[in-house]
This record gives sequence, structure tokens and C-alpha cells, in this order.
Amino acid sequence: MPRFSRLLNLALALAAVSLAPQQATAADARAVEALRKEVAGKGFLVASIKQKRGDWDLVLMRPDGSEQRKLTDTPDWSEAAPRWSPEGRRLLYRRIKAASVISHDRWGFQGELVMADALARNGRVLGKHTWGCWSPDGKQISTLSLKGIEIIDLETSKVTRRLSRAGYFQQLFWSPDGKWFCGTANVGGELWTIVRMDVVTGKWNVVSRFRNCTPDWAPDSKQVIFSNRPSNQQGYGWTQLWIAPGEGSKRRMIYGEDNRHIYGGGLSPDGRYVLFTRCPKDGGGSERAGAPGGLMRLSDAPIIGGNSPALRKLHPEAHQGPVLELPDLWEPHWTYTDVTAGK
Amino acid sequence: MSHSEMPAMEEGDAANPGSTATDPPSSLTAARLLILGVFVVGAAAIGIGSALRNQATTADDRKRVAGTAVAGDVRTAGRFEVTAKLVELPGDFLPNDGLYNYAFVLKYELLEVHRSEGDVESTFYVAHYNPRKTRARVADEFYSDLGGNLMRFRAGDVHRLALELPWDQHYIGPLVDRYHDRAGKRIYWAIWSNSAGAGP
Repeated sequence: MPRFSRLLNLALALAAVSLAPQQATAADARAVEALRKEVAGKGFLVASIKQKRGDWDLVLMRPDGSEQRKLTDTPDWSEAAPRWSPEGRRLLYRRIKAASVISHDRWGFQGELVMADALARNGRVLGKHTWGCWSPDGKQISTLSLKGIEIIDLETSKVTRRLSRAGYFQQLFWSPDGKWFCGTANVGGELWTIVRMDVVTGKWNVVSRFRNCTPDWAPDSKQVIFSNRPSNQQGYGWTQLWIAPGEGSKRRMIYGEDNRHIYGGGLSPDGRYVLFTRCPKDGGGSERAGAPGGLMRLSDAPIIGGNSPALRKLHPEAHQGPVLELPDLWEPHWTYTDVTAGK
Repeated sequence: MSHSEMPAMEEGDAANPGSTATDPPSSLTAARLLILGVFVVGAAAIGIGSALRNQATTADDRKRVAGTAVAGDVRTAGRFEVTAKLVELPGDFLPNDGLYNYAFVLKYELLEVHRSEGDVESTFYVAHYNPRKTRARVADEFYSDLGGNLMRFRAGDVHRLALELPWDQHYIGPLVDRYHDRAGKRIYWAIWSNSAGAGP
């Protein structure tokens, strides 16, 4: 790498750290720069980024936020919540009229599901298909609607299976091993509960109770990452990123920061890194212009950002970082596939 | 001014404020009787008038309430149409700040069934969407068929409701159910909610 480029990257890392609410040190900057170098070449991210003209477009970037390029450029439509197929050659996303405000927790009910190639080209509208999500082999999708959970064959567009949705009401995702669903559900009078369901038997168990949402699977299909606003805070409180085993035993915090609501949690394909967004207002920022993205190592968890004195009292073992700052975005997704290879 | 603040009156002050000790006794008695008669007739007239006016107001109110109770889609929406009394509010509603949306289960006592496909229980439960909002403003992008003229939920008030059953085939979202321990209960989904009279 040319010397100038290295210096520029270090300067950018220092600038990013200096923008963070906590006291930046040279050591912090070096740690962030080391993280940046570590992830920069590990595949690609895709996320929705709000445009000045009002709509959202899909933007491809390296995991350190570099090499950004638009995959879509559609003033009349917003492209939302992209997810690459397991083999990384296709992309599912939702196409929503640009005039609509995207709901941070009901976006799966909005617009239509589109399947395209990995760079969002040759998109085909599949239909409403609410909360459409890839199956592990990429040949089917699961959907969640008033009719229940449906499994749809992508080649024939036929519903091959229908299950009761139990208490699920949003954010249904199929585990990479194909054995489980996770989602947000009503359970026993308590709303906003993360629930895991056995795909074959339909039996379910609680993963995390009380004020949770936006769950997603770890690549090993054994853990679920989700947002949670614990009750042990003053006033409204702040939403934090947590992880728990699918069977619902003890959960642990990954990232928290007072004055920020942490959403959009997702893991890298090898489960070593965590993506999230840091929104100053509740919600993931889809109702506004997104929120600053963040990237950290799972092995560094828990990390507490900012001063956050109350949170640090609750988690004295927490680290300060490093957290790599990403641009303002919403619902990022990560693949290690070189999606640009075929271009 | 409240009654407790009125100065006490001495007997005779009001009845004959202009009388003097020099008037003949017979004239005084006649005058008193005359004034008393006028007072009684006046009071009776005021009472009858007031009663008639109250009767007319109540009738007008009934007419007005009946008119609003059947306004909008209440006669056509859903498969059930009932008039029922809201029994209680089981705790506070959650905020409806535009970020989060939910339905809240309320308990009703059945007064009258107007339309029904099947029996409606004497005590039944209804999930209302975003209950902090007036029913006129409750419809949104996700539930565009909801409405009504109910301004707020108050225990004891009577509502005319157009309902569907079961709730989870018509609504998919967070549900606050503070009666969740009542096993086997059916929860209706409120489509249209009109006011049909205030509680006591």
C-alpha cells in the first residue's frame, strides 16, 4: 500500500475516533486503525443509505466503509433491507415507494420483495411476500403474514408449507442451518419477546423477554443477536445490542451507549465481527436519515461507547472499544463473497 | 359563589324588606300571604319549566347519541356489531409516539347484539389498535379500514363496535393483553368504534 494511502487511512481513523463522544487517545486510534485494516478486505457490505432527494438507495462498500458505490439509483423508489443469498450470488431487498416513510420495525410489511443478482441488477419483483427471508440453500424463502409462516419455492412460486405463526408478528429470520426461525413475538401477554421456533415441529421457546426486537442469527445457528432496552435504566432508557443462546439461557450485552439506541445488529459470515447502528433517537433511523454504523469484534464484547457512566456501573468489565465508524446507513448486511467478481 | 359563602338571612328580610313596625297587623298578614303565593306559583312555574327543558334536552341527547352511534362503517364492517359497556381500563396505555404501534385488549359487558355470526359472550374482550389515538385518526398505512367517532376510552362508557374474530387473523403486531391469564377467552378485533353513551 502506498505510504500516502496509509497516512490517509490513519488520519481518517483518528478523525473518526475524535468524532466519538468518548475521550480519544492515540492508542484508541491505533486500535481502530488495526480493526479497519483487519476487516477492510473481508468481502463487502450492502446497506440502504438515504439520498438527499429523499429516497433510499442500496450502496455497496468494503467493511471499513471504503469503496462506496451505489447499486441502485431510483428516485421514485426506496430499496430497503438488502440480504445476500447464502452463496452470495443473489440479493433480496424490499422496494418501497419513495414517498413512504420506512418503518424501523414494520418495514417487512411495506412494499414488495425483489430478487436480483448480487449487485442488485436484473431485479425481479416477487410479490408482497412480507418479511421474505432466504432459506439456507437459497432455493426457498420464508414469509410471515396474517396467514402464518409460509415457505415458498422460488422456482415455482408455490407455497410448499404453511405453519402457525404462534405469536410472531415481525422480523422473522431463518437460521443458516435451516432448523430454526427467530423473530419478535407476543408471548403470555408480554409483547416484544424474542422467540425461537423449530421449523419442523413448530415448537418454540423464549430467547429473551421484555422490550426486544430486530433479532438475527449468528452463523452457527446457535445464538441470536438482538436489540434490547433493559428496564434497569432511568427514564425511557437506551436500546443496547445483546446476544443469547437460541435455547434462551443467559444473554449478554455486546454493545451499549447512553444517548444512543443500538439497532441493525448482524454478524459477519464467520461470526467474528458485529455490525450495528447507533441512533440518537429510538428506532434504527429508517424514519429519518439512517444512523451512524459501527463495526466491532465480537471477542471485544461487551463494549460501551461514550461516557455512559450508568451503563459502565452495570458492566464494569466492559471495554472502551475499538469500534470502527461507518457512514450513516440502515440495515447493513455482510458477505465474504466477492460480489464484484462477475462484473 | 358557593352556597357556603352566602351570608345568613334573617327571617322576614327577604319576604318583606320594606315593612315597618307602624303597618296595621291585618294588612301585614295579607301582604305576606300575597307575596308567599306569588313565590310559590313562581317556584312551581320555574320547576315545571325546568323539568320540561330537561326532558327535551335528554331526548335531544338520545337522538344525537343514537345518530353518532351508527355513524360511519359500524353497520357494515366486520362480522359482528354490538353495543357494549367498557368494564374497566386495566392499567395505562403505552405511548403512541409515532414510533411504536400496538393493540390493547379491553374488557366489555355485552348490552345488545346488532349483527353476529355466532354467539357473543356476555363478557368479551376486544383488541383496539393504538388506543391513545381518537378512532377518527387511528387508521394508517397498515390498518386503513379502522375508524369511528370514539374520542377516548373511559371505563363505564358504552360503545357501538364493529368487530372481527379472531383478532390474530386481522392484526399482526404487538398486543398488550393484561387479561392473558384468562384461559380460553376469545379476543375480537375492533374495526369501527363509535360512542353510544357516557357511563355514570
